[in-house]
Amino acid sequence: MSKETILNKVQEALKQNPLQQNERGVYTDILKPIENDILSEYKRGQEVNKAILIESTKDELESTIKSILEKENIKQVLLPVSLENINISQEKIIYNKPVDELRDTLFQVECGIFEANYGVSNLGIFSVASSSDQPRLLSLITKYNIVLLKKENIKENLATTLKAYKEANKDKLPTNILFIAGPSRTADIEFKVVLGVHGPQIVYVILY
Amino acid sequence: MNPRQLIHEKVNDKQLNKNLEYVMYQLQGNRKNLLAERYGDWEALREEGKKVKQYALSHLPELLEKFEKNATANGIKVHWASNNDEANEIILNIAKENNVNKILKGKSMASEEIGLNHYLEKKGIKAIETDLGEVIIQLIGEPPVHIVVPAIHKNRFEVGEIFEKHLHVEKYTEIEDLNRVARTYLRDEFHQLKMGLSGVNFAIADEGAIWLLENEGNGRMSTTISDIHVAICGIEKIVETFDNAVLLNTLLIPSATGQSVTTYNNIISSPRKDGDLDGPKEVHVVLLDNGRSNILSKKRYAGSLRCIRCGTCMNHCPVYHKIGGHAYGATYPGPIGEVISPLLFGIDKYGYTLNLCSLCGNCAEVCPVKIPLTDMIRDLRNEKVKDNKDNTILGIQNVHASKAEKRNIEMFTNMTINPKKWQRLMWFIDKFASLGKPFAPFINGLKQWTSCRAYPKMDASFQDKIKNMQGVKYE
Amino acid sequence: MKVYFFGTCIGSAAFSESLICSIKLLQHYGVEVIYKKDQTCCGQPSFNNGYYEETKKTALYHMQLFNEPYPVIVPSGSCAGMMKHDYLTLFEGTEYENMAKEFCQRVYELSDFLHKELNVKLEDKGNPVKVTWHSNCHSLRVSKSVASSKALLKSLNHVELIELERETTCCGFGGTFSVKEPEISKAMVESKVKDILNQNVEYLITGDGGCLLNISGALEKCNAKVKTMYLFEFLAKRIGIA
Repeated sequence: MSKETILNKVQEALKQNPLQQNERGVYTDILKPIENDILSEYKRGQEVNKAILIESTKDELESTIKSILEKENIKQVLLPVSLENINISQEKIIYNKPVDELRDTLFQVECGIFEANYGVSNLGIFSVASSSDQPRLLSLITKYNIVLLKKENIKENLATTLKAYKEANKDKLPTNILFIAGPSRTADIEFKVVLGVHGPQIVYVILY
Repeated sequence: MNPRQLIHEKVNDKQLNKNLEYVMYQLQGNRKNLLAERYGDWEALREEGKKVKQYALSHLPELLEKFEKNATANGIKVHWASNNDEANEIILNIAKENNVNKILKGKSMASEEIGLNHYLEKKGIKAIETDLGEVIIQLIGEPPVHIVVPAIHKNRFEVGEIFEKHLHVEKYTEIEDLNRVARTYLRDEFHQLKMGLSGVNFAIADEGAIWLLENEGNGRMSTTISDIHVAICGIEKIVETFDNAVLLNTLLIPSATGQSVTTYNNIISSPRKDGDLDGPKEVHVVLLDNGRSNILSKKRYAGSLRCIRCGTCMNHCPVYHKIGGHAYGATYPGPIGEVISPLLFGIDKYGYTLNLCSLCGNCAEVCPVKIPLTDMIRDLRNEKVKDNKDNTILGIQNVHASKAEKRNIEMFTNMTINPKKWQRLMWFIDKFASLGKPFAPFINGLKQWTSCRAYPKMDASFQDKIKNMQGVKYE
Repeated sequence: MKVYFFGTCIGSAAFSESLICSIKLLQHYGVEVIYKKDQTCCGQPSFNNGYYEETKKTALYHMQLFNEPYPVIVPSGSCAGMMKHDYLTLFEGTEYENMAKEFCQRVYELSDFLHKELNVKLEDKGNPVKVTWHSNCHSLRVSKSVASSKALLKSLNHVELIELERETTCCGFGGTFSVKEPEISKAMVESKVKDILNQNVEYLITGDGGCLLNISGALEKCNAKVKTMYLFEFLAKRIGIA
């Protein structure tokens, strides 16, 4: 069996060359914040990462979403079950069936809306975990994303955010955790940045 | 093409040179500015990063097993592959079992290493690259020129021509248009995708999860919309904890591109579970040894397994700038390639790349996990020429040091410990060096030297002058 | 204070005047210089090509030659790095390990010695001049003496130091690299020359004979007007002792 072969070889290697590193490396967040508090720092970073940031309130959330949809002239919206009751005039497609049944539709929809689990202050990114309410493709397959993020869910850095996930899920991880900086991008040609490759091209984050 | 011709061709390819140099200095500058402006004690973090990797390598057997146990508990299928053939076969079998004749690939250097595309093609399965850079070079049948920016040797006009010829679209020259062409071409492919393949940036033992980094979203597509996701993971990618991965991530991204973060950090710990509406139904991780355990057994080179594939050693290598990745003839080019390619694939095949280094030391200075690349390159030169060869280095028995070089070095060394001979050499240079000028084109060494330099102005009168210099104790 | 002076092989073969100036600098600041006539080369040519056993012979020869506990002053960052740092690695775990430790800790690159040990204050007596500086790779990354070299240059009142755009990029010398990979070396030195010419200066100054031989040869080949000079010769001339 290859497993035994490999493990034997690795053990043999360490016998020949005992590295004996028993001290663990320790992570410290060395990013120097530019703003004074984690919320402002998050906002700054998220804009640097080319997401469009809009501040709103819980009560005005719907109207904020509406104004974005109107401004971008979006006709069709993909929603997770948790947001199916949202009151908008655009056509609503509810992501309530397995991808296998929705595949053709998913490749057509213009805009996905979802609630982010966390924001990460030092990098200016948001995070979303997969669940039955919140399928993975919501944040990937559409040209537009509108992301809702509660201000109280902003964490300091990746390490504290991952810790929060584990605590919230009683040490059981969501099947897929994503950290997203904003629109998908590439710099593969002449190292020039172009937005919107295979993921969304325009990403709104509504902070409330 | 033999290596000599290859290098000759690359160093004289003006377009390649121009494209590369422009981007490499930009990458260097971005990194430097970002670190200066935004990062605190980077040097201390490098030291911690080194510890994380050294710790993982020291505890590799336990961590590999722990990863397998936790990943399996999460529903991931873990495979073990000792070499190329085994890895390719595992992937082929997964494809066959699922009646797949086409797979889509996110960027994976390990898949390049095992020659997966070529292998699958022979078995009737098409492997399509989805990273924009990889798409470009796959269309023209070239290997990556750089591990992070694989098609950076082609400018937008050249890419326009490639797309026109191979994707049958009109000839575009604007980068936005070229991006759109690639997006449309791949969108159709993603739509039908059944099996996706990716590499792994960090495999986290405590969590049984894998962590993937990318900017384009092609990696997420390949690992999300497919029914089956296969990830190839070198055994050295294992770390213990999430915190470890966060630390290495903090080191990797600025080093690679001068950003703080990639667009996507994709942490996969499980296939689609009850209630999930999407995500692959199967996730496979192929743990690949392929010579890594052999490197681990070597005191001089085990540190090269710390590599997190950021590519910054290439970005900072003045030789790489002049010849690009293809001249190294192997999957891994640049300084890290000079170290691991001979060790992984044979010093007889890739030993020549060890000459592609002026030992300037820039690579080691910037390596985020402090791999002493320059020392390793020099040590590997030593492996090639020393008397008691280390027979556990792949291909060493086929390496025969140049007898002429050895003789020259021995002669020179003999002069350095024999002052009479040395003084005679200096005397000779003093009296006759200038007379050599007409013969320069015929004297090996001088011929190469004077190809781009004036005949050296020697002045070896020091030996005479110092004898009588006032106040100097000459003894 | 007594010191040993190690002239280096490239220095003795090509830059005799610069070596004389180096010694004059030491003497000017009150140092007594001992020159061991039997010295040769630090061993880099064999070391860099991986011939470690041969290098050990050369290294041991010099550790024994410079046997009194005087500082060993080297007017080249590259050779200083070799003798200060690489000798240690070479003899690690051998019977000469302690000898190497004792030896290496008293090796100094000349500008480091002038700047950090002697704290010299240079009195510039020359006319205003614009110069640029090339950092030798091993001075920068092995002996780490570039900061001292540049501090000395900058302390000259009438010298304007204009930095290269890519000061820390290798010039393509690399010892035997330049003859083993002549085409790459050529491409590298041509980039360096381009950078130098862009600065519109009168002099290119560097603290290492290898780079100087390489860059000056390349500049001369393209008939460039920029003059080149070894750092220590330049310093000695500026303060009027040469």
